[in-house]
Amino acid sequence: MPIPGVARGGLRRTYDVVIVGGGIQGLALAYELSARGLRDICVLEAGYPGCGASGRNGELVRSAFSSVEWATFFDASLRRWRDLSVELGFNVLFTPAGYLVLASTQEELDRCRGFAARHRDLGLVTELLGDREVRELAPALNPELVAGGVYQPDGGFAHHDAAVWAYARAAARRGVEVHPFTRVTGIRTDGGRVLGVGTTRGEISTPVVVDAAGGHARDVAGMAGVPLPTTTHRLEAIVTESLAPFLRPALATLHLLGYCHQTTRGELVGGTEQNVMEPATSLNGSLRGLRDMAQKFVRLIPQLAGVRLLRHWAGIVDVTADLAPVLGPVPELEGFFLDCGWVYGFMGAPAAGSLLAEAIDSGNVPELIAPFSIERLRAGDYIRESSLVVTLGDA
Amino acid sequence: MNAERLDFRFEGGVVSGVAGQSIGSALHAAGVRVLSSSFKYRRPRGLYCVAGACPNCAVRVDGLPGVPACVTPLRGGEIVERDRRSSVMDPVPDRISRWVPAGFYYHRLPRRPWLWLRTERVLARIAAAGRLPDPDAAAALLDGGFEERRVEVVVVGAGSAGLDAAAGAARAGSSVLVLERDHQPGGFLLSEPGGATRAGELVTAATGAGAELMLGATALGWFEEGLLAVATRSGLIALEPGRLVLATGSYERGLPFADGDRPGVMLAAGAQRMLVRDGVRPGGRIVVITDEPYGHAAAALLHGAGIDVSVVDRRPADAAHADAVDAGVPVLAGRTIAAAHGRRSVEAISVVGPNGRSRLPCDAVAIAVGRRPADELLLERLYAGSVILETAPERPPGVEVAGER
Repeated sequence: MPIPGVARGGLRRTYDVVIVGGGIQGLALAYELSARGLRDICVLEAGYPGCGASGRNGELVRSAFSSVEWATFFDASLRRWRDLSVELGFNVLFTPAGYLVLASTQEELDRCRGFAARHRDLGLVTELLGDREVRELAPALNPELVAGGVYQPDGGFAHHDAAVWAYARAAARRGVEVHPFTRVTGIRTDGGRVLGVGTTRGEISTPVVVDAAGGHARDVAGMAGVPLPTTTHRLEAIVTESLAPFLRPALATLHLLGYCHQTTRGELVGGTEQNVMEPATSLNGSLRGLRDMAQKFVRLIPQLAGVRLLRHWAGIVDVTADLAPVLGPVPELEGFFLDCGWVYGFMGAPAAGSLLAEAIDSGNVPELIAPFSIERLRAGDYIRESSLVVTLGDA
Repeated sequence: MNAERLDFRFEGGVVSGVAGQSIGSALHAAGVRVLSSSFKYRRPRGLYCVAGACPNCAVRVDGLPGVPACVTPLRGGEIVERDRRSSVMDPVPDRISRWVPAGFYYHRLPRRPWLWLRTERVLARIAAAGRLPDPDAAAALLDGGFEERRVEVVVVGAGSAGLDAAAGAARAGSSVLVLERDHQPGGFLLSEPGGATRAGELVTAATGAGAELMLGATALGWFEEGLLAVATRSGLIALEPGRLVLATGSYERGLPFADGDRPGVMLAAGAQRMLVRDGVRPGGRIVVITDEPYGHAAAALLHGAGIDVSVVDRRPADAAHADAVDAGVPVLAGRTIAAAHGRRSVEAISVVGPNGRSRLPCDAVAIAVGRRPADELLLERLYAGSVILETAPERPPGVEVAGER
């Protein structure tokens, strides 16, 4: 069966834009570029579309973050998510079931209070909840872990495969070529300009290359001679057997460093971060990860004890020191753009795609993504975001 | 057999079984055919593989969901329920399935997000397979232990291959641990007449040579740390095997045909297991669908128990009749099953062949169309770490696969 949106013909010798990585970032960007009227866009994917972190994430969507940079960027994305199914002509199953950032201690609640106060000024719709309100919202939660939280009623979750599929299909309909099982082997540059890419299926000439290679972004940037200050980590997730609805909102727990939601099909999907995220490039699930997730989710929702797991998997992310993405041009190499460093990439893809497309097309970096430049990392001028449930351990 | 009678509760009534039987067989003997319903269309489902390998007989036992009735031994006194109570609305999703085909919500609803949100709420209620465990049942599981253990040789599966391998390794001087998820060692031997005696001999040989046998122990996964995770009733064990022998046997293959999920349609080795291990007749009138010698052997066994059996063999007459074992079992060669009939459980099947279609009344169907190896543990390691295989995977060192030629 042909995969919708996947090119069946051979590679051409020349494209206007080559995007390395056929995950949700690369596909959303390709779609947005074509929507702006650009032609001859090619997406090169080493595996199949969405086979990396795009199909392995927790599929949650929120903008209730603590920093102005994160909150405003992800709110632009959240607004895109609401209309994405209509725009792409395919139901990405975005379900605004609400999103709760759970605080379990007074310190965490104070942190939530601090950033929730800013949300109204930024145009976000969120509310600070006390312990009783959280217990009413999610009665299955262990009351010992409920001190309160920030609730975003229009956050929620979408279906990751549906979103990848929808973007691939919509991009292909506008003439984008998505080439699966095509690995990039080198990037040709000369005099501070991009000239083309070498692939396992031949050479391509192009003036624009975008690194949207997810867990492999540092390797791809390295091919262009651009050192990317990132480290590669493994994240793991589990899914349980299906159960009657017991958890309506999507949830991130600051205390356990975990996130989860109950899908429409009734499965609980979630992941946790261990305090030490060791650099890893493996896609294997680990027993240590499995035990960590099982113990934490049972602690969070005690009635999950005895529920069987359907699957356990891992994905890799290539992350920056401040866990924020790297979006935009690279000053010393004309024609080379970065769309990587993602940890919250699934929820950020709709905004990242349209804003980076604008940067590539117009040459001007939109204000919302300007803070996520590579220069910030080079200057050590990190974005301070305190509502994340991933950690680099000692970071 | 002087079996002890055991009573348990099923949805308000008391059902009697016999010690050694599975919950599923005891319910089958009591006339209960429907044990669960399918995920979305809520089609009736019941005992199918009778090997703990499919979700069709998952029931709720003492407040815990997802318990495979077919392989869970009866203890007596347990409270068994269908995890989804049957409702008069159950047939509705299946009846309207033509208008809501698989994946309809991807294509039919994108232009109407509000409709998706309504639909999502309804689907969530329809689609759930079970309910959360009862709080007390969940709480009782919280003190499960964790143990790490190094063993020179770990054998997964206490069937004839695994027990024999364990005896050999133990005689050669290794410390050996045999894992078996069943509560009885012997594997498929236990489903063969006289097999229990042979299984007993193999167990004696293995344990006599010093091998340790752990029952009710499921090898959950073989992780990259080199650890084999084993779930037991008392907790989780992380085994670090020096050498690992996979003797996990095989699964029977299914066969697709219209309404092939009706309760009463089951796999032949499963039907044989019910009869031989649990002393429960899978039906009074059984049709065996096969293209394999073991289908004819199973038919002979069922017929020997006084069941009205016929065989539908998909192969031409000469091949079919060459494998026939029991002259009292009619063989319809060169034909195959086209459909099962019956509302809640199978009442007849349609058979098609060169001379057209005919209808055979029956209350059970046994499918015997081949097996495939139960090789998930091996595949976990062979195919792990990458989604793109550029070279054929190599088997990790120190791993043997029993039954491999």
